[in-house]
Amino acid sequence: MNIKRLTASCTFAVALLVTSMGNVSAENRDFKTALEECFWGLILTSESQRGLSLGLNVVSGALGSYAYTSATMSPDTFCAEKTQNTAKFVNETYPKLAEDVARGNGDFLRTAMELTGCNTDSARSAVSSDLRKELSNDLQHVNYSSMQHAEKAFRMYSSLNLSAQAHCNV
Amino acid sequence: MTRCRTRSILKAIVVVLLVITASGPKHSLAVDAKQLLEKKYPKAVSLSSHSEWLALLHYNVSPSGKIKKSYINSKTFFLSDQGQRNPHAELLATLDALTLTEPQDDSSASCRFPARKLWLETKTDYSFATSDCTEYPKWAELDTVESISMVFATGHFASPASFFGHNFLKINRVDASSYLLDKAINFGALIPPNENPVTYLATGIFGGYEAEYSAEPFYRFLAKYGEKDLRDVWEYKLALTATQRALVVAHLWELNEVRFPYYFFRENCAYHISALLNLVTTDTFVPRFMPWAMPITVFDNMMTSQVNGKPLVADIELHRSRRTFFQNRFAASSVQQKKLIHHYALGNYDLNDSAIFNSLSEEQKIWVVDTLLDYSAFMSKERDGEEHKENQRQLLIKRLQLAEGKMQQPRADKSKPPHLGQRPSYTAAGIRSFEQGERKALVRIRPAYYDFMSLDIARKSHASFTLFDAEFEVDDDNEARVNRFDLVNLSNLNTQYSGIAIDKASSWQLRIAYRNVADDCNDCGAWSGQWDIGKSRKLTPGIAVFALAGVSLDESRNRTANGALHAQLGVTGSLHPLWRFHATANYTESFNHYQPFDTSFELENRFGNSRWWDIRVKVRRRDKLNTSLTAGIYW
Repeated sequence: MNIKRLTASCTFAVALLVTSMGNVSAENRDFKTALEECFWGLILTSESQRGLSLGLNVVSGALGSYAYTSATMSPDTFCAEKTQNTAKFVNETYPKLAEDVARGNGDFLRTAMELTGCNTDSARSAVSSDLRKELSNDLQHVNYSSMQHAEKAFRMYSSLNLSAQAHCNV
Repeated sequence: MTRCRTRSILKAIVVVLLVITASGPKHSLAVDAKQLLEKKYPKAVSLSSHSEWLALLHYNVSPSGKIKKSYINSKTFFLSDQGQRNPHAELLATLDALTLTEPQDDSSASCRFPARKLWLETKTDYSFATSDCTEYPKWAELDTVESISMVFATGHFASPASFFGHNFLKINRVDASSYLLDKAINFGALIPPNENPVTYLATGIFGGYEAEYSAEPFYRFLAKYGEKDLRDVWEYKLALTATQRALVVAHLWELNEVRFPYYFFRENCAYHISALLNLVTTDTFVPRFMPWAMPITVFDNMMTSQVNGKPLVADIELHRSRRTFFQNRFAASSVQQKKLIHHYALGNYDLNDSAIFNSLSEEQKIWVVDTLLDYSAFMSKERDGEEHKENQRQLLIKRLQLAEGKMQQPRADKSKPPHLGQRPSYTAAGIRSFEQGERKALVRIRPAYYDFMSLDIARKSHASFTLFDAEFEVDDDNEARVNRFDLVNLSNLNTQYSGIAIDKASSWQLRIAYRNVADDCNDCGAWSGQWDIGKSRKLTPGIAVFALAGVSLDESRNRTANGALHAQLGVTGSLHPLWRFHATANYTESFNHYQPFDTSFELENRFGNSRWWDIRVKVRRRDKLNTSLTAGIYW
């Protein structure tokens, strides 16, 4: 193969690789956005969140900014009843859930997994491991203690759904 | 009267009669249709006065058996326009609706009233038209229902609505490991947001609020009661058959968005949640002749009730509050672990620096960290909650570093279920002797609820909550007087519960009462409103000391308002299972210059630990030294 053809082939391969990586990132970004919109749209339409600065469709927390809309809750969208139930459960039981995640065991952790459709031991073990890593990262952040409850709950909810998507048959 | 005029009057009467007949109720069955139904379903028609049919329609039935109006306000609940007052008319209208072949969707009677249909089919051998219901089966999930429980959340001083506790129903799913998602059925008043306290109290007591049954996941109740309010939740599982469970669940569907009037003292959660049990038994769970219904009475009566020839209650389970979790774990800790936890509670939050912690085994470290997580969780509700939030972060980090595993629970738990607690009302009689030899007969009547002498089962320790507590004296001349009438007497010492000297809550006391201000005067009563605040500490596990100071506004003897400052020192508790005591020394500095100050001393003793009776001996000195001996019954 001559150098010109090799260069063209490599360029083409790299282009393919970059495009495919971009597509994977876009899928994750779409799912993450859907999680944000579902959680915040649900929580913020049902209760006031003092301490969070609410811009137009954006929530600014201690560890990040999150987009939301109230127009995402219908059976046909991602934020169907099942996903709403998970969001409400995580938001309302966060302290107990966080403790169960730290232990890697417990009624609240098991219930969270049931809500996301993780029903096998191997799947639950993988999700538990992911959640422990994510919680550990969040706890190390110096702003964790001052973080509003809803933001802590959202980060747990997001980690739970992302992990469930990867390991469970959802 | 002329013939013409008579004819006009007759014409008018005929027209009026025609109008009345034509404008008759929209849904009344024609006489022929009624007779047809009665002929076709004779067995069903005879059931219109059955207790279960009356329970399905929530009729108010007097103690003599007279059927009054249904408690339900919502007109849409009734198929007959007379249904609210006439169970026979409602039964006929139900039969008529159930026999229709159209509609067949969720708007059909079969889908809207599945409990009525089920009940009629089980009581007779009739089968009614089937419909294509989608909403009801989805909500009911009958194939997942394993049992039904009646649940009691212990009382709480944060709000008057919580003083007596709360009860609700729980539908338990087959998979017991996910009990957090079980459906909990609540009956509660619909209160507008930001209602002012005076309106809230008046409307709740005298009426004006509506209430409804609502379904929520059980975890929501545990979050509110166990985590936020620090109240224990007791679950009494009922021994019902599959058909009985289906009937209760189906009826709860029928009650969706149905409105009831709400009255705080009687037509409340205790009354209407226990009314659901009348679908399966004719037993009474709230007293018929009392103007009130208390949740604790429901559980008391449930324990003596039977269904299907067996006890109604099959099992009892405790869902511990955070505080109870901590108390139990602390009590079960080793000496070394207790020392470490105590050290932590005094402000030494860095476990890495602790030689004791580092010397513990992995399992012992896990026990300490899990116990401290409970401690921090309930302490974060206190005033310095921010400090404990940071502690929670550090504890979670520490727990993540330790081995994974389920939280260990101590085996022993001293908690006793509420039906073993003191019965809520009290009456006593006895004698009071004064130092000069004078004697008076004494009668006390207290409708609710408990004082420092009561057994502290399923209620706050070192606390008192009484309503309408009246004491009468009759002297040798048969002259009677009201010695004391406590409209309300609330006292919460908030004695440290954890056993470590860190609980920072204050003691407080509120009393609105009519009291005799002099021992030797029969007409010296005065109304008084008193508020005290202070501190309490535990001397031993059974004894607490307290100090209170406050102010009162008093009605003086010459009917002009007066006031006073108060100080009180006291000790309360139990030295033996059969002996409880409460002693106080009181100083009052009055604004009335005729009586500048007053001191008194009181020691009350209770003997016996029955939930049904007690013997009390009280020694008191104000103007005169007097001793009273009474025998009382709890009911």
